[in-house]
Amino acid sequence: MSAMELMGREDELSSDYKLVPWSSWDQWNFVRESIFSSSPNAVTMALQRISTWRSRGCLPIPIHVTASIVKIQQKDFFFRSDLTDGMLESDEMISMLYSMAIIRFVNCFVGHKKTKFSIAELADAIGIPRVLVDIRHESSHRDLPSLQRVRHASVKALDWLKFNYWEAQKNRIPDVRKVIRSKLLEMTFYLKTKNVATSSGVKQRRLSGPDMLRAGNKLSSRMTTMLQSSKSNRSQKPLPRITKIIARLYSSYPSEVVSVLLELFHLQTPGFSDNIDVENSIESDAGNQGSANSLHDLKTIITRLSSKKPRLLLSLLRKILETIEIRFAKNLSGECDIHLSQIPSEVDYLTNLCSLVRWLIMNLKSLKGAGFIQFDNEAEAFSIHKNKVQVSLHKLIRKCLTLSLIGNQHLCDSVLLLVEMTEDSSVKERLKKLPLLNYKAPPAVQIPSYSNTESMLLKEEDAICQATEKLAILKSKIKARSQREVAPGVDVSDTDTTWTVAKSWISCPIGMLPCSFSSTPVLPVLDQVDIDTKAGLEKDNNLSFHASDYRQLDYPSEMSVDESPNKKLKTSQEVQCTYFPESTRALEGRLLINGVWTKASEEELSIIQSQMTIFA
Amino acid sequence: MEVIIPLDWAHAAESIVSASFPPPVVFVCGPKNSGKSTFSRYLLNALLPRYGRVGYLDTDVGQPDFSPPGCVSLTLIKETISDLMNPCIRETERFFYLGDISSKSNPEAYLDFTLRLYDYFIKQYHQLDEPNDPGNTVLPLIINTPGWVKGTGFDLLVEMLRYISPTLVVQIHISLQSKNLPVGTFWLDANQQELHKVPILVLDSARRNIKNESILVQKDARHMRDQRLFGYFKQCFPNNLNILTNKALARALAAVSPYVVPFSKVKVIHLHCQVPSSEIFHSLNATIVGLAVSSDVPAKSKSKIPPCVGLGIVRAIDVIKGLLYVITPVPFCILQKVDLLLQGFIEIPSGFLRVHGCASPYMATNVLHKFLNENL
Repeated sequence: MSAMELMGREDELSSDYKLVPWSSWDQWNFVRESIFSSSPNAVTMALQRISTWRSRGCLPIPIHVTASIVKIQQKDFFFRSDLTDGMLESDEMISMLYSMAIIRFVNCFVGHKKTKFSIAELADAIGIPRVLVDIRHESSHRDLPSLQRVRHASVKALDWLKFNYWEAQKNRIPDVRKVIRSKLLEMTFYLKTKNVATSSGVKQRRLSGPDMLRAGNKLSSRMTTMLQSSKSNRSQKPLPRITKIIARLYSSYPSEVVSVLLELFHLQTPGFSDNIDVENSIESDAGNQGSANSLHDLKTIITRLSSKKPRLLLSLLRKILETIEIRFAKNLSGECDIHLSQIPSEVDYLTNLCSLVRWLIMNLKSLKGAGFIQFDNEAEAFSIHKNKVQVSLHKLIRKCLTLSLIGNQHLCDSVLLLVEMTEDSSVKERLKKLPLLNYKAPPAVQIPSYSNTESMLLKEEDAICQATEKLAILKSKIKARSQREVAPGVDVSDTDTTWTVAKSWISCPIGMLPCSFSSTPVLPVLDQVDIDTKAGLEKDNNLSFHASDYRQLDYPSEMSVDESPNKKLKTSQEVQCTYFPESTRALEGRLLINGVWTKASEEELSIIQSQMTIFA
Repeated sequence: MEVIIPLDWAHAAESIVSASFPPPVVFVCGPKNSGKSTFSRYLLNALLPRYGRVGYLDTDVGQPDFSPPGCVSLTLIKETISDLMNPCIRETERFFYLGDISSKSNPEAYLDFTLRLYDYFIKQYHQLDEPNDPGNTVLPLIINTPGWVKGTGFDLLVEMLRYISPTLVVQIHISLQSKNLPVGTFWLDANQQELHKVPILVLDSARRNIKNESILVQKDARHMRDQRLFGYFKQCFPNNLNILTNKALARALAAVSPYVVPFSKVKVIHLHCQVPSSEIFHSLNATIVGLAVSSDVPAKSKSKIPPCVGLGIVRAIDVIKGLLYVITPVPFCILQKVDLLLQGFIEIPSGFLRVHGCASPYMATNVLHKFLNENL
């Protein structure tokens, strides 16, 4: 890939936006692959999706025409040897269908405006085979063409569509991640240039290529070529310029920027987070220079970008918390144990992520101080803030608190930081009761000394009894709640009203939902959760049970204080409502294949699972 | 653009206003862009001083006057229309959502909707048999029609005219005769024509060139439709917000707290195409829907589709919790009864989806859309 191509990519993200029926290019790509697939099931799925797109009213014509031809081929035994006699249409019927589709094909792509050119000439100019034009004429004005001819023509028509639409469009899909990646690399490069220049007191504006490369880690050499190739037209200072570009990219593609940003820096590296609070030790830490450098860079990049786009902090928080959660869930289900893990990188990864959470929240706090971010605990009727970012702090606390179950000190600190930010003393008081927050290190197994075996056994038995009782209480509570959950309309409170106003809402693009804890927009999963998935969820909802268990543990002490039972019920329900992450619950037992959540059977999943451990 | 009303239009309107009891039912028809809507609005303004209120049955789903596109609507106008060229959204008395910009996607439902609205008007505002009842007001009605005057469009006009039997038919002609409707009572057969003497007023299109040929003003129909939707959804917000641009509206729509309804409490009807039930959320997210109450189906209705209480935007869907998030200007008390969502082909204007830093996922860049070889 040459430098010019890389630079050219940015321009390809044109500003010409169009309404489309798909919500991501992945979805489009899935349809592209399925509709030309040899598997009838895949084709059926693609056709279904296209008919759904059609109902949205902005379906591109080539997709519509492709679907109608493929639909007919699916009825033709020539393409479907698996069709049984009962499912076959007569030859005449099939050729009528083909003829109609071909008439439409030609009419859609050959402009029938009054010109001095014939349809055949116009078709020839855009490479439509003559046979298609002939079939259009014949079937409109003369006898119905033979099945063999129209069938053959349908293949030609599809070939034309494949080449002129599907492939052409595929090649035009913007590779946003690539653009972001290259811009971020460029920014890192400038940051280094700046650092080196200031630390060594050299006045020169830009270091020459080779020196630079040795100084940096494995920043690709193409970065340098990129820089050199574009030197001439740069009048603005490079760092603010690139920051601006990335900020702009962020406003259009927030999730992509965040995930590329996190990918770019090697969070798997051990010791990445050790220096997280000590800015200057980086230079001295020669052994870990590569990773430590990238940590410093990551933090600088985040600081610079978030001064322009405060929301970035939240998007990052969301992404990281979600990642932690997924890992944590795996841990709970016994797939891997964080503390006893055989995979050191996994531990490092989690630790690094947790420390980043704390750092991000610290930044959030300073941005709040500067007035960039507004936290509101009350739902406003609606507000149109142009620049202020709103966050519901309580939800964020809940999220962090749940995850602090992992027992990471950084996460516990994060919760405390957040609580400080709420300036709500009652929350503070309540949280103090949580033993978890005093957590310092993995609990060392203490072996108390007992005078004799008998008393030890007695104590143990006692402890077991207590534990059983607690467990029974928990179980009944969980049961009661799950029953409540099954009851219809639980979300709409007790009244008969069907319609309600959303209690709290944070500005978010149409077609997306604000994430419950970070308030960043999320594209909801739109595949229907079928009944058997729902049933399956009840029994193995590990993570959510843990989350709510924890609240329950806190109750006895709370009850004795001063709150009415009503209020407690409410809070527990709120946990219920807000806890579930948007993306995980409905997706259990599903795999993301080509941008579509496909249901996988238990066996399939277990096979995949076993293979994953082998890879690891 | 200043509107110049020709003298013959003014005379025609005057004669209609001065006609004695009963208040007229005026049917305005003619080819597209001939000035039907302009004349209808002019007549409306002329009738207002005498009657106080005037019924307006708008059957032009592509370019409606007072309602969002895709709707057949009955509006009671109380205030004069100040800008004859650009009317603004008014509160409709009753409307049906056809869900397309032309009646051709479902002519039967279209005709059914029109006739049921006429029935409703007659029942509520045009009871001629009890003229002395003080509670009974008899109002005039103007029926504005689409410019589709050939083929199925002609058949639809004939059906409408036969059912409604207006007191006056206003035909607007353009200079290109072949595009015009036939002269005379074209909707009746020969022996019926003897029985019903319906006055027909033939007017010439308002705009002409030097040779006295009518000029058809090409309107940007899509832009007009987007404007109607803009006006409609602007009603979701208090006036003091002063939303004047698409940008401001888009930002407000993204920020406003939507209504929430459990998916189990509403039924979705796809008006024009089949959608597999497993794909329903893919179909609904970020689209415009008609909101209706299933028990409202009118007595004589053939289509079994009830009138709409308003339109809404399905702004998000939470499949896990089974919730739909809807933005609509429909008052909360009326919304409570809504249990039907009607999905048609009315596209959400892309201007609603483009918010800086808050762009909808359904807006894509680098979309391939040019195929026709236009170099030839």
